[in-house]
Amino acid sequence: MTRISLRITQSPPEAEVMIRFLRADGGWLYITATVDTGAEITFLPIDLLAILAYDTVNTAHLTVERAGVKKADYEVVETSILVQIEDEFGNVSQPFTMPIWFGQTSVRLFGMTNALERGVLHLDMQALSGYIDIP
Amino acid sequence: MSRIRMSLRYGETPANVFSDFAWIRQNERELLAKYGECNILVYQQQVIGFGNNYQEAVDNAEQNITVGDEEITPVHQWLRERSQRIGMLRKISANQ
Repeated sequence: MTRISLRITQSPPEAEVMIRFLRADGGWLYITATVDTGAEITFLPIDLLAILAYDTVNTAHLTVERAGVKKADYEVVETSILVQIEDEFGNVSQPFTMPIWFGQTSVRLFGMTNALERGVLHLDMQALSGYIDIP
Repeated sequence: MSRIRMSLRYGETPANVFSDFAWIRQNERELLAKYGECNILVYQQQVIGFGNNYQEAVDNAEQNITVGDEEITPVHQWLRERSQRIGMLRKISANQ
C-alpha cells in the first residue's frame, strides 16, 4: 500500500487529491479534484474528454442527479481512464482504471465509492489531516 | 512550435508542479478576485493563461508567452469560490 496525502481545508471542509490522467497522446495530465465521500464515481468537465485516453468501447450516456436536489440533473458520459493518484511528497499509486462521469460542469470530484474498493480513506478534518492508502 | 507542454511522460514530475499548485492555493483569493471562476494555467508562480475551460486556457497561454526555445510545463487548475458545497452525485437513469 502507498499512502497518498490529501490537502485538507476547513472552510469549507474539503479534501483535495491530485490525479494523473492518461492523455490520448500517451502523456499524463495532472488534475486536482475534491474528494466526495458520497459520490459513486469521479465527475469531470466534458471538455477534458477530448484530450484524455478514455475507453471508447465501454462508454455510456446517463442521467445523474445531485443527491437531494431536484432539478439538478446532469447528462453525463460514463467511461473509464487509466489514472494514478499522487501527492506532493512523491508518493504515487500504481496506475489503475477508474470509472468517470463527464458532464457539463466545471467541478472536479473524486468519487470515493469506487476508489474505496481499492484502498482506505482516512480523514481528520479538525487536524487538517487526510490520506488514502491504496496499492 | 509551442513552448507549452501539458503532456507529461510517465513518472515525470517537473520541478514547478507542486510549487505552482501550492502557490495557487496560497493565492487563491487574490486569483479569484482577479480572474473570477475559471481555468488557469500557471508556470513558476505566474498565471500565463486563463479561460472558461482547459483548452481555452491553453490557447490563451499560447498567445501570451513569448517566442523562445525553452519548453515550459505549466499546471492547470480550476479556480472556484469555495463557499458552495459540491458533490453527492448519483445515477438515476441510463440513456440511449
